Amino acid sequence: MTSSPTLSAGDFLVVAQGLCKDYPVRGRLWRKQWRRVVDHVSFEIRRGSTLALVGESGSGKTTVGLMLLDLIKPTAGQILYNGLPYSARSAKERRALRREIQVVFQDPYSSLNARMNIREILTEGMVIHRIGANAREREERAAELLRQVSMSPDALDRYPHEFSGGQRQRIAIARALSVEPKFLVLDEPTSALDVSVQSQVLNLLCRLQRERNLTYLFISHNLDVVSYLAEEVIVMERGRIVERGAVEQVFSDPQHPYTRNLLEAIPSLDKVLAK
Amino acid sequence: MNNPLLVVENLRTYFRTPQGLSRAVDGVSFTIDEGEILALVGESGCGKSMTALSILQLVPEPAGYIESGRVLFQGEDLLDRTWEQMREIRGKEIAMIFQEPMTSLNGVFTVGDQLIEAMAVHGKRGNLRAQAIELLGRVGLPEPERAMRQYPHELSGGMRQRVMIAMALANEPKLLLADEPTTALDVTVQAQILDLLADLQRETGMAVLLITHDLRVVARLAQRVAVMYAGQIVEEAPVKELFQHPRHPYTQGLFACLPSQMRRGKELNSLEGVVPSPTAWPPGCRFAPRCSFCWQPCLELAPRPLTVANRHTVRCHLYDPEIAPTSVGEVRS
Amino acid sequence: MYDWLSWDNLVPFLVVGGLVVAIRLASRQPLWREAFRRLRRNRAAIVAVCVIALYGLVAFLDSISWKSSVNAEPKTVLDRLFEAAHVRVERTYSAPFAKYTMGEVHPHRLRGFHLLGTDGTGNDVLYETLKGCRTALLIGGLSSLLVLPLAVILGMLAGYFGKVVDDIIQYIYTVVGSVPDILLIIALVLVLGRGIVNICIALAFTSWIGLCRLVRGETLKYRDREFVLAARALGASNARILMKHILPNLLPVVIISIVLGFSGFVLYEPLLAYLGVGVGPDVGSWGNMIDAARIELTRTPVIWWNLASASGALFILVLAFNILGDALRDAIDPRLRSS
Repeated sequence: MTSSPTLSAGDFLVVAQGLCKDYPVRGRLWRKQWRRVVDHVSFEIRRGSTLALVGESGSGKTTVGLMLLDLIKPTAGQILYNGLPYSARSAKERRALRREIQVVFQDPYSSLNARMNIREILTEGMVIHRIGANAREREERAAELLRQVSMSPDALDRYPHEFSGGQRQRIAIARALSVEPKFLVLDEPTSALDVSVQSQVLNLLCRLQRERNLTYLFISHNLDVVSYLAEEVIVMERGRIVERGAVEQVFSDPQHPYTRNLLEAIPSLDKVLAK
Repeated sequence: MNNPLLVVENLRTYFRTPQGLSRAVDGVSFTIDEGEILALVGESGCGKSMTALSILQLVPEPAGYIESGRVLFQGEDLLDRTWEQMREIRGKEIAMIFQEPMTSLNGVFTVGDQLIEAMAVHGKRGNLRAQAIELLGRVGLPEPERAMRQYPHELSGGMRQRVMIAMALANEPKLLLADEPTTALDVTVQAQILDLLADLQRETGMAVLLITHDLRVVARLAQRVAVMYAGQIVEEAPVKELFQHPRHPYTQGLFACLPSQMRRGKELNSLEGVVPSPTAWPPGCRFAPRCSFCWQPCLELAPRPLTVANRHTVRCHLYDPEIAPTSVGEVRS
Repeated sequence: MYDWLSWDNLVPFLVVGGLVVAIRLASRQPLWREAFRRLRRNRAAIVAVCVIALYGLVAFLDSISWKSSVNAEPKTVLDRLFEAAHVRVERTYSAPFAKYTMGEVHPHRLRGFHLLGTDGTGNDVLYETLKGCRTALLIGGLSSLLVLPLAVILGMLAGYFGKVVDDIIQYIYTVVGSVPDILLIIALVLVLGRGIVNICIALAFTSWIGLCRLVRGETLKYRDREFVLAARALGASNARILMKHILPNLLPVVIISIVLGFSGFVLYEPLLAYLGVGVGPDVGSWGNMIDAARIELTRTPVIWWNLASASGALFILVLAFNILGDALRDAIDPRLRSS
């Protein structure tokens, strides 16, 4: 970790310490067997920066994301947000914390409820956290959110199936922003999108981070996107972190054989163009 | 290597939809020589998958139909063949592998059963079981004997895709259609499968039509590449040439909007706008509404394919000496 | 209390009102609108809906009753319609279109015209058949209504919360399901007494299991979908997720299941009548008519019109519901898959 000595603990918005997650495996009736999906994962994310989490299927990266979102309880280890662990907060505080930590998923087709129109999708968070005094105010906020993600407010009355994948992903981002979070977990948000749409969404994410000083955990297996977007990167293989560091350093001089494998597998665009 | 194996001429595949006639494939022409790997690149909805399905006459009916065009395979027009006659071609002369191996393999039969069936259906003789085991070994499965008895869900994604490739190669086809074969796989597995395809192609001398949306996959495997947009091929060139000198504004746009380390901190060029609906292609050049070089002729006149360099054709008015009187030359982003 | 205001009279208005409201609410959602549009194009479905509506109309007319004078019996609209058409009660059996009674030593001249003949007590068979409509629709409808909340709530709880809750609910429905339905129904009817409402309770008690399993499966499917995870990340409570996210996605399968199950309930009634635990002799029902055929078919000449009429009416209603259920499934399912 390239941590400069002048950084204090308060500069880290999110700190994961020794996270472990075990899932039960069908063993014999009397002997319960466990499969360790996440194995002693620790990292820190600096306020306003982007940490990339790179790994393939089975690496546990999505599970780590879900633990940070407080949607899954870790078997061991803890997560500190603003210095305070989740477990040290009361249930009420944890619910309030949900405003600060939001998520954008990979699949734009299953991450929006097909039975709700866009207005309902965007105002749900506001209703839960009592943002906005009445329905009209909430609707105005929803319209503003759509403008922020470069979509027209007359989408409010429509349903998800009327939109393309890229537009749905923008709606998902707007939904995440609807409760004014500080920290976003992005689980492969552009992997299911076309290249030209991906660039639009990446530009949007960059702009939002700049304007609102957001902190991102960006989970992806696409090394080009990671090298474009993130400052720090951790590489996971089978539940363990095998390499971590600043993006430039890790990608130019990978230490671990798995990282080297990844980099050689599908060469980055720069290398391809240089050939 | 210059014997044309597959010649597609002006292929048009249309769909009848409630919103009107969808011209999914609208005048596609290309040639694949024997032993050559041609990549067909494009984003979703451009018609690349439907082109491959049209070659094998697997267009979903009754909504879809092949309106016109010729598909010459070894000199014979496949579109003249009936369904029964096409069965002799599918899986034997021309094989196809798909993106999602889990749904392409039958989950209730073992790998061995399916592989043997693929061979038996086309009248292969001899000890089919031994041949199947040999095939599985050839596609890189670590324990072929064991794999024969396993069911698809017991295998990983990469292994399933290898099984698919084994089934496709079982009858030694001359042409392999690969529709996004690595998109659903992990990155390292993608590399392995692509290397496997390259090796097999070298060994057997078969031709490959590789359909993908990922330019990096193209770079790794293909020799020539054709870029599709809105149902048509807008640019075609050898791989190296296309990557170093992309001519069509859409191709340039595709390269320009890819993220990379060198572009950190800068806003990515993104292609503005969206792909038009296949039921209502714009008159003139279909890319014109999104093109930064668009001018009057682009909106009215559809561009024709022109050769700009060695085996490099572009469908754009910028390179048409009759329309763009001043020689424009290369246009870089 | 007014003479004409009774529980029986309110029910049909409530049912019709409920249906109208439900359809209005549904058509706000484009997915249901699409389903309706597809349904409209299916001619068999339209015929089925018309047939059901016809039965519904008859049942409706038979549900509104009032007394013409203080000491008289309350008569329904259907009763009065038949009175006005001069359909009289005869002495005993008579064949359709006949002029004389049948089966008597000295056949008597019939007092009126009977399209489908008369039964043993001289009642017009057509009249009895039409009276049976109400019974059949009530049994089908009330049983479905009782099954609905029971199966849906238990199924959702079992699927969503899993573990202990799931185990308990699965235990309950496995135990209930392992007793043969008909024995349980008979036992319940003997305990509760006969009559339409009690039969509906008994039927519902044995039939909720199938729908519960279905709902549980669907809930399991939706529970881990990304939009549910996103709602949890937003801070939605379990109740909110169940009501706003999971339940609307369950509705299509629930509705199809209810429509197809309706006819199952209607078919149970004749079986119960045959076993002697039906609605009882004072309520008109097809089951009673079919049961009477036990004796009637052994007579010479055979008296078949009672049985034929009731069976025919039953068959047409069940067929209509099955066609409608299948058409609904076709109309709804492709929409589901495309989302």
